Amino acid sequence: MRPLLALCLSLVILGTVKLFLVFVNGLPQYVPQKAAETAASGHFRLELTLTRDAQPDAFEQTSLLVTLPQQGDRELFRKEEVITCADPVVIDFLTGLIVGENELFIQVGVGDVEFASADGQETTLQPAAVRVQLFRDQLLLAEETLWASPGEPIQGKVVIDVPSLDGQDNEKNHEH
Amino acid sequence: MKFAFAVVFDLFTEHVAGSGRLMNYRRRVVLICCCLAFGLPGKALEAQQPQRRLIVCSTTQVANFAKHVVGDRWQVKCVLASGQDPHLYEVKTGDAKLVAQADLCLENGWHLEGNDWMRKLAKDAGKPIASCVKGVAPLKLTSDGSEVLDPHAWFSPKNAAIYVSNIVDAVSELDPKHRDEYEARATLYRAQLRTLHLWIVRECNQLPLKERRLVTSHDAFNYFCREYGFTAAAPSGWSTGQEAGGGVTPQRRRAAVESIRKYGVKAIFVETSVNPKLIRQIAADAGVEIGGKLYSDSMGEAGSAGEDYLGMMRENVLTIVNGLK
Repeated sequence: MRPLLALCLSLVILGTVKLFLVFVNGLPQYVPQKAAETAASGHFRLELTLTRDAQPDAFEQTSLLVTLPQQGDRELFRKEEVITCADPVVIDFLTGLIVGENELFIQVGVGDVEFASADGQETTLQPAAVRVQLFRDQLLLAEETLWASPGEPIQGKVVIDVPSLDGQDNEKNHEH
Repeated sequence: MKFAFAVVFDLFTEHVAGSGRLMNYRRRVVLICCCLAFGLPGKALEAQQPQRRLIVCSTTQVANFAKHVVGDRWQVKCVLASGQDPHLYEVKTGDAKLVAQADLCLENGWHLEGNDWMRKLAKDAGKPIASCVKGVAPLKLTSDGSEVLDPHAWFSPKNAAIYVSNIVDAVSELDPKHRDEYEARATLYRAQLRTLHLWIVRECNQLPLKERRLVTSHDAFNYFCREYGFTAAAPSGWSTGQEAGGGVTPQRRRAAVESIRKYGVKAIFVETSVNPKLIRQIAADAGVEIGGKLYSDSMGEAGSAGEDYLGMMRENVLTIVNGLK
């Protein structure tokens, strides 16, 4: 009698678990509701001023990468060749910015840290920085400087608040 | 499940025998319920998961890189256990069975695997195999008139990044749907390798250049030495086996002892995958201390500092710098 009872109890527990799984799997999928975003109007230009040449290293092939993390890491700029620090890097006619907070991810490679075997010098590690300036219709909207530890590439997020130009910004839903 | 049925059978026989141990019954009923309630759904969920593909790697380093690239999407198994020497390894029956189940085989390459045992295993089983050293700038070693490519390329984190890229290419070829995922993991891991590289540079800068002399059991640390400004010396060639340029010769042994005396080397190092007897004899001959044990052709056991590539390199650098300071 008791073994039968044990089996019955087990079947009841199993049945309950099964019912629970069916119930959980049957629940409607959660779809996050995105607030309506307003595309920012105007002519945007991004200027990056480097303290050292941007160049890839053995661990990362890009010398300069700029993306918009809020838009599924949409790439605004990518380069794998060496960029000299003499002139600022200009990314003109920037699109996809919205009214409100915008995040820009910026990564600048500083090249390989090498042991100078030819002259037998100890390896020196240099810090690097990049000044980020965003212009809207030729007017400076935001400015920030990103620093890196000596020898490491510059990696950072710049948060820029883009104000609304009344009557000119178009309300639309950005689908990601 | 077998256990649950055994308990049910046991319970039933006790019931028939009429022993009347009520407390035992109650406990066992609870036990059975627990077994069934927790065991069966677990099994059912396990069965629902798709069968994972299998990568079989020759060395522990390659397996570690592969794990970082594929995460949980593939199973990663390694032929060598920690502490085993790939130059001298003799293939066992179980290895052929393991490779026969593989979807992909990975080897270090450049004959690190003595007599190319991994390539032969993969070829016999008809499995695809990728070599991790593809694209690495090789160090050429000349000994006894023969030239060989030094296979110990992973000792430079820059080369480790190339290993990772080769593994991404190999797994993506078989599973192109998840290429972005493998690339993303590899990018994260390469960033860790860069951090490791910069840390090693800072640590080695504690040693003046003239004191950067690394004497180890066999000639495995050339890439490390090139990267961080050391001069290497070893009584045994690039391989601990008897390949061209490998093994111990009296000339190499003498040269190692002379190098230690000439440059006033403070310590020499044994390797985890090589018999320490010879290096102890050399330490006694040259009158220097043993600075510690270095992970060389194989990583450490689970739970040790060297169970992971990053930990292995960190441990090696700390041992070298502390030994030579």
